[in-house]
This record gives sequence, C-alpha cells and structure tokens, in this order.
Amino acid sequence: MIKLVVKRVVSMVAILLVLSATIFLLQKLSRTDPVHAYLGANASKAAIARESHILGYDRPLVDQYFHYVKGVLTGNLGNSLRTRRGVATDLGAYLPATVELTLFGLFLAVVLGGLLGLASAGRWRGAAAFRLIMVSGASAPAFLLALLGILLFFNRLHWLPATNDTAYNNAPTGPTGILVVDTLVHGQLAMWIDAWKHLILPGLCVALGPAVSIGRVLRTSLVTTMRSDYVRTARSKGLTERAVLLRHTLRNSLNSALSMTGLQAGLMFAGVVVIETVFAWPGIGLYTDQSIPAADFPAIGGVTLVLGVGYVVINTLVDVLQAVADPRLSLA
Amino acid sequence: MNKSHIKTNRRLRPAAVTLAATALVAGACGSSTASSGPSSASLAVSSSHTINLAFGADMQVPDPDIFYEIEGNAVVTSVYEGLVKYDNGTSKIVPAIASSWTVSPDGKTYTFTLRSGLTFHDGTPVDSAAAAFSFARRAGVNSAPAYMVADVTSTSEPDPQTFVVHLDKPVAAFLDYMASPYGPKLVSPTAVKAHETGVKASAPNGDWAQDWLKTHDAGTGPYAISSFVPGSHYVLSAYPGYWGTKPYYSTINISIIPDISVQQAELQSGQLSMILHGLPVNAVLNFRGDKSYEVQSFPAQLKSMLYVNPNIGIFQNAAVRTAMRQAIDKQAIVASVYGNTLATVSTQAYPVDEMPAGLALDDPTYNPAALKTALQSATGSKNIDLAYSTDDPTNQRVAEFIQTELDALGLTVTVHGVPISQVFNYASTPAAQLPNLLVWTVNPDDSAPDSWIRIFSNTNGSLNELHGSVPQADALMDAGLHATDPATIQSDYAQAGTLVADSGEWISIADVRDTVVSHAGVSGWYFQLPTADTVVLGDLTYTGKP
Repeated sequence: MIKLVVKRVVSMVAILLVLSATIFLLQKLSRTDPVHAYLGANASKAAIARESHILGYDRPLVDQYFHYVKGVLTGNLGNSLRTRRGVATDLGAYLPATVELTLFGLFLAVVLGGLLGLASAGRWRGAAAFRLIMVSGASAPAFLLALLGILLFFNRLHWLPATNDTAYNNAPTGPTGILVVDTLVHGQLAMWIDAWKHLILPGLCVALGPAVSIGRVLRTSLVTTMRSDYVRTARSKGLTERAVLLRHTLRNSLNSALSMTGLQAGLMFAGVVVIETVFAWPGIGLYTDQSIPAADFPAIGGVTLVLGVGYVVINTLVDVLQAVADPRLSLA
Repeated sequence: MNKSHIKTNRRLRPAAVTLAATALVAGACGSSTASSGPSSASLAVSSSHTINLAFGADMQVPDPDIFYEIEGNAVVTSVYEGLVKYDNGTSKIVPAIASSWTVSPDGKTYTFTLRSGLTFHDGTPVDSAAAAFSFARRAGVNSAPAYMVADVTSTSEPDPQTFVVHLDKPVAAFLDYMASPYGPKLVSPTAVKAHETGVKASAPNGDWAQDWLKTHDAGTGPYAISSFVPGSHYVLSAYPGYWGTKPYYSTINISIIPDISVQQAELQSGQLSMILHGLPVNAVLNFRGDKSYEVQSFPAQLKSMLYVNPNIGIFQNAAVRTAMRQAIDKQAIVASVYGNTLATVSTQAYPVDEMPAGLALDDPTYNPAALKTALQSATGSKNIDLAYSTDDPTNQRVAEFIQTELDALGLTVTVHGVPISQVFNYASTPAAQLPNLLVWTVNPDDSAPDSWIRIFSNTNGSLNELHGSVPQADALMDAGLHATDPATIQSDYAQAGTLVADSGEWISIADVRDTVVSHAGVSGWYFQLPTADTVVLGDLTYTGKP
C-alpha cells in the first residue's frame, strides 16, 4: 500500500510539472493580452505597461514559470486576473460545488450503470427499454440534454429549478461548502430539500454518459463471468438466476466496472464545464468558463492542477478498491 | 441561520414554452404561445418589490476605482454616484452629487457645489473632504480608470459644500470623465479607512480598502451591496437614507446565468424580471410581439466597426480602402443582423449624440462596383483574412455578411473568430502579423468625442488594433482636447472624424442600441450613456396591474 502511494505521489508531481509547463506554453502561444483583459477594454497603454510590471508579466516566461512553480510548492497559486482574488481562495469557494455535483453525478452513474449492467446481463423485464432510454440520453450532446431538461422539468412541469445550487441568498457556506451537507449541519430542512432539487437536473446530465459506459462494461464482465465453471456449479445447486447473478457473479465482475468508474469520475470533473455553464452551477466549471475568455491563466492553471491531482487520487482509490473487491490483485 | 430571504420567485406560472430544443438553442424562443395570458411573474414583481436580474458573467470587482467593463455597470452606477451624470439617454451632463458647477475661463479650474445633507451608506456625511478623498483614492489605486484624474494637480475644499479641482492644463473631456459610469465616484472615507490593509509609513492608505471593496461598498447611491458572492449572486438593498427619489424596488437580486437561452427560460417562467442585454434579434422580436413583455431600446454609444489594416496587402492602397467603404451595404447589415431593431445604420465617425448631425460624416453612397473597378488595377494579394471578436455573437454575423459581399466583388475572404483577450493583444503585435480586417463592436468610456476617437483611431490609441494612422487627425485630437472654446473643440473633432472616416482605415457599420426586455408594467426607465448595461435601477418602478 505504501509503495503504491509513494509511486502515485511521484507520478502526481511529474504530472503537475508537465501540466503547469503546458499551461505556460499555451499562454505564450495564445498571443493574448491578459493584463489588458484584467484592466478592462479601454485601458491605456501606459496603464497596461504599469500593471504588467506589477504582475510580473513583463518578465521572461521561464522566470515567470519558476516563480509560479515556487509559489505552487508553497500553496500559492497566484491571483486570478478576473476575480482579483487568490486562485487558491477561488478554488476553495468554487471547488466544493463541483465536488458536490460530481459526487452526486457519480452516485447516479454507478446506480444507473449498475442497473443497466445487471438488467442487460440478467435479461430482466424492461431491460431493452431501459437500455434504449439510457443510450439515447447518453448520445445527446450535454448542452442539448441540459436545455431539454430545463425546458421540460423547469419551464413546462415546474418540478425542478433551472439554475444555481440554491434558491436562498442566505444559504450556509460552511463548514464543507457542499450545500446538501451544510444545510443539514445547520438544520435548515427547507434549504436542504431545495439543494437536492437543484442537484437533480445537472446531476442527471452529468451522470447519463458515464452510466452507460459503466453499465456496458459491467454487462460484458457479468456475461463473461456467468460462463464460468463455478457459476455453472451454483446453478446446478438449484440457485435462482437472480441469486447467482447478485451473490456469485457480481463481485467477481466488478473490477472492470470499477476501473471504468474511476476513469469516468476523473472525466466527470473535467467535463462538468458545459453542464455548470448551462445550469449556472457555481463550481470550477463555471469558473473556468469565465476565466478562458479573460485569458486568466493563473485561474486556468489552478483548475488544471486541481483536476490533475484529482485524477491521480481517484485512480489510486480505484486501485485500492479493486484490491478490496478482488484480493488476488496485488496493490504493488 | 434564518430560514428566509428566498432569492427567487417560486410562483411559477404554466408557461407553454415550446419544447423544440433546437428552436431554443437557436435563440428562437418566445413563440406566440410562450407567454400568453396574465403574467403572474409581473404580479410577483410588483407585490414583493423585488426585481430579479441576471448577468451573463461575473462582473469585475464592484470597486468604482477599478471597475472598467460593461457587465456590472448597473451595479456600480446604482451603488455609487459621481459629481455629475448624463441625463436620460443623452450626452447632456446634469447634476448628481454636485448641484451645480462652474469652469474657469482658462479651463483649468472646476468648482463644484455639493448638495447638503447627503450621507454615505455607512452614515458618513458627504462633503468636499470626502470628494477630495475620493479623487485621491482614484489616483492612489491607479487602475485603468485613473487616467480620468491624471491631469488633476490638486483639489481644495474652501467649505464643506464646495469642492474645487485644479488641472494642469485644460481638458475638454474632463466634465464627461466626471459624468462617465467609470468616472470618479464618491467613496466614504470612513469606510475606506476602516478597512485599509497594508498601511505603513510608505503607504499611509495601504491598499485603499481594495480587498474589502471587492465584496462590499462605500457609496451614496440608492442601493447598497448586501451580498456579493462571485460566481453565484449579488444582492442590492435600497438605502433608506438616499437623498434622491426613494427606489421603488427594495431588493435587487442578480444571478450569474451565462446561457442566454436559460435566461430566456427563466424570464418566461417568472424567475427573472428582465434581461438586461445579450438577447438575439429573433428573441427580441418575439418578445416585442407579446403583450406580457416590454422591450426597451436605448441609444447606447456602441458601434459595430470594421477595422482595416492599412499596413499589409491590398489595403495598403488608399483607393481600394475608399472603394471598400462604398462596397459595404450597411443598410442590409442592419436589416439582416440587427433586424432593423437592435441597431441603426452608422452615418458618422462618432457614436450617436457625440457630434451634431452633418459633421464627421461616414456615410458613403453604396456602390459596390467601385471596389470591383479598384481591384482591377490594384496589386497585392486578394486573399483577405477577416477576424471578428467572439465577445459578441453579432460580430460573427456582420463578418460573414461582409465576407459574402467582398467575395462577390473579387476578393477571397477567410473569416475566423478571435477571443477578446487576443484582440487586446493586436495593438502590441506587429502589423504584418495581424489580419487584414477586424469586426468588433466597441464603446467609449464617455460621450466626449476625444474619448472615442483617441482610443480607437489615434496612432497611439490602446485599441487601435490594426495600427491605422492619420497624423493630421492625431494633431487635431490633441488640439481639441486642450482647447477651451466649445466651437473650436467641436470643429477640431469634426475634422478629425472626417479624416479618420475618409482614410478608410476604420469603417463604421452600425450604431448598436441597448435592448432590455422586461415583464410588462415595469417603468421609470433611465439609461445612461455611453455603454450598455447602465439602466438606472433606482429609477425603475412598476405601473402594471397590481
């Protein structure tokens, strides 16, 4: 276990260095003027030059890069050119909402994907229709799915809200930043229910694609496992097909589905930009969407690094979970 | 934690919005059935005295000495006030904090008489010392809008209601600087001093409370910031001690909703009270045909421009540039792109209401054959790179229209979008690396002619993106800026505008209007030039059905 963690930490540092260098290279190649964007459209040349010097943008790129890496090592991700706050502060404010949405989306994806895999492999009644709905939903572009959801469930049926993560201006912002937890901690039942209502539509949009991927992998794995000798033995002992599927086959088929879940979780963090933008969800997707037009490279870099760390951590967790699910696998 | 202050109106009406997602995506919302019947949303607006707005993106910080963009103007101008302001929808300057003012004959001393009995939101009295402190803060913060006080050598306060500004030389645009949404605003010295950080001997005012003013305010306006959560929402509450007409709406909620289609859906369902800007033309036309909504169109000073790079290729030839001015069918662009609703044809080198009719004309007779003829004798590549700024979707449509026109006349035009942060970099990029043409919709900081022409068309202008240059016009701008006789000032800028237009290096296409869609019954519209998003929220009222 320790060896695995050490290996992953080393790989994480390497990934972060490569990511940060890539961001800096992109900044140079993009030929943008972030300081002009920072000051405002009609800023004078003198004001831009003055601010460039203050922000260090007039220094050689290599100097800027080493200064940035030095800052990152001490937890300083620089200041956002758009919000004029520390990027670390911004991430602290925006990241919990993304974690909340992604975790909820991941939960939905696992549940829906699990159902899809089991129903397809077990040939449950209605499996074909369920599969058709899931695949159709997953095939639609995310923004279209989101807009359709808003039209149907917000505009037409009035069941669910369309934007933001709460309808309350005074919703609690701590201790976790995750609203469904914080509202509960503060005993705000109405806000807690409201927070769940806000989660459903964006959560479903985030979950559908990964759910189909997970479901397909699980189904394939289940079908293969169900041809095993021990499954045949279980059947010959007179167990029902459902018991065979749930008690004997499922656990031995989880590895590939877990790998896919880990992969999808990483991708979900990176893929929530569109969903957060359409639903005005106050997470790092919305933060990134607003930072890109402003050429806010410190913010973009901070988000990239966080996503990189998240990806490595998630995959490490998946490795551990796989070992738990199948002790024959070695963590080393 | 109190369970109250629900942000949005939960009384949703059964709006029969079409479910055709493609129509919505295309901006074709608001069908005839979209909002028929009584609007409960409007009723909610009137009964709760709360108005719900949306911004497409976070505004810059609401610090009046830093804020310098369009999104968020409504917040800053509702929370802060300057000495003077623009009258409703015109460039006429009228009193605000100052009830009157005089200008010395040499144009170097401005004496403002301040209204008495005014207070900042923290209760601090408004007086000349506070005005002097506000000017000092503008200079001390030294961000982009600080240029408006760059020529101020000193200020003096003979008495609490008299504030005197001394300039080192006459600045014809100075009073416009004061009236601009970005102009110096009065900030409470008490609030600023109480929240300054980093104070030391070499920096007695520290950060001038910049950190605190990122989420708070220290103004005198009809509204105070009661909540400012970046990425989520802002809440403004009416200031009970406001000196002017008390605002009708006690609370203004502003959400961040980037997607304009979602904003439309929320307007139709009653979640939003109005959409301040950004609606596509077909949506505006649909709302205009629906009695449940009102469409307000204001004469902003936004101008759709075609920048021409005179330093490379075929457009180095002045005759080709002149002919191209005639080849652009402005009328057709306004009809096609703006639906003859969101803009009017530009006929002057300056934005509307900056120059009397008949001066600084940029209104050539449409004659596409002239370009065809000019191209026959011109040398240089006929492959044209036409860029447009992606910050405004209409730029693309204007660019594509121009591409079609020029292609038909013998040029081969390639169109591509450029993010605004890249457009900003053009002014410092060698001209040879820039596109031949650029479509961009821009606005000045204020209504003074100098504030338009100097920034976009002066050889050293910070937004002279394709490096045009008309030295004679530059000289006239400098002469006009430091003149004191109004007739001379007008004459200098009129000539400069004519020279700039005739150069063919900047072709004005359309004067874009600011369009706001609200539920029926909202009235009291007051719009401040020169840019979009400056509806004065404090003047809004509701006169619809109770």
